[in-house]
Amino acid sequence: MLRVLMISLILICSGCARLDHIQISDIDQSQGDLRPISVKLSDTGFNASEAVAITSELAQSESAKENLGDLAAILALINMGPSTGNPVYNDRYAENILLQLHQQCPTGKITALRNIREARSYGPVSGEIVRIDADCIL
Amino acid sequence: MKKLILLPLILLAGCTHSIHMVHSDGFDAGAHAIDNGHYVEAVATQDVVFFFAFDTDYVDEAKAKLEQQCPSRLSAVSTQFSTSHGFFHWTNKILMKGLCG
Amino acid sequence: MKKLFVILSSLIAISVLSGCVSLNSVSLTQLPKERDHLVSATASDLVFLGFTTQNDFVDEAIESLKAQCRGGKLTGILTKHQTTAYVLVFKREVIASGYCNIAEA
Repeated sequence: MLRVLMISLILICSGCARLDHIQISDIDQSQGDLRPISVKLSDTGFNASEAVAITSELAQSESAKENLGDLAAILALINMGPSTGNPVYNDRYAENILLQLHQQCPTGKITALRNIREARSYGPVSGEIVRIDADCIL
Repeated sequence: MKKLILLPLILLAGCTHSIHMVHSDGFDAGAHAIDNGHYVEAVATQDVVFFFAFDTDYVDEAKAKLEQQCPSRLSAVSTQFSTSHGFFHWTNKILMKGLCG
Repeated sequence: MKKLFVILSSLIAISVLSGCVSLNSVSLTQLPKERDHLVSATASDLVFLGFTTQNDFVDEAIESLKAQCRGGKLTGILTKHQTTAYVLVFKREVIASGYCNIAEA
């Protein structure tokens, strides 16, 4: 029980913000007033292998530990490849970013773009976020 | 019975992806570009088997496909780089979108 | 068994010698209507075991691009940052290409 509490505490306290990538574009303040706009698209990231490995640690019996350990290994093997943060199950969640930017800025003139790839992480579960902050030239 | 339940779960768990970065640029065209233009999109992929990848030509392929779809000015370009994971192999993907016209 | 070992060893040797390439980041700026004159530049450095103290090689790519388009406007710039992994050594590379349009006087 104490082990469960400790691990839960660790998971909750590790609810961290993570910054993976940032890029800043030109900033033009000479064409008029600026209005800040922001588009944030996210999906739930879930590391199944890590979750099963944690469960394996919490298991009481040795056979359950072994089975879960094998399952964690299989899950890691079938999800091989470079990964930024936890894997998601839908790679199209950031597709409509251009449309949303244009909807927020009807003039179509956008400057000071900050392209940010970040996350809110809670152990094996996280919110994988693609955010674009910018200024709309009015 | 356990294997019958676990196998589909394992197979489903193997359909993961990861978006590494999204870059967007070129928003100085103005409202007339949004009204008169149309969105174009190009995707190029690279299959990598167990780390064996020898070039990044798929990026140039995506750019070429995008250019083919738009002979005029292409503004508001967004580039997404992601990977789809699999068993001992993965697929790198470049998605480029822009406003043509 | 021996044949399999030879084939596997050859495959590993080929991959080690030619290196395994991974893409770190990519970006594309807005493309112009006139795309007749494509210029490109590559800059790289070798890093042993990932230890390095500077990223100056990036500036080389920019200067090279600028030199190929003096007095003109460079747009449609595709920038690739990639890493090629050999044994113990990594090659960091920035490959940039763009369209050069010289403004008429």
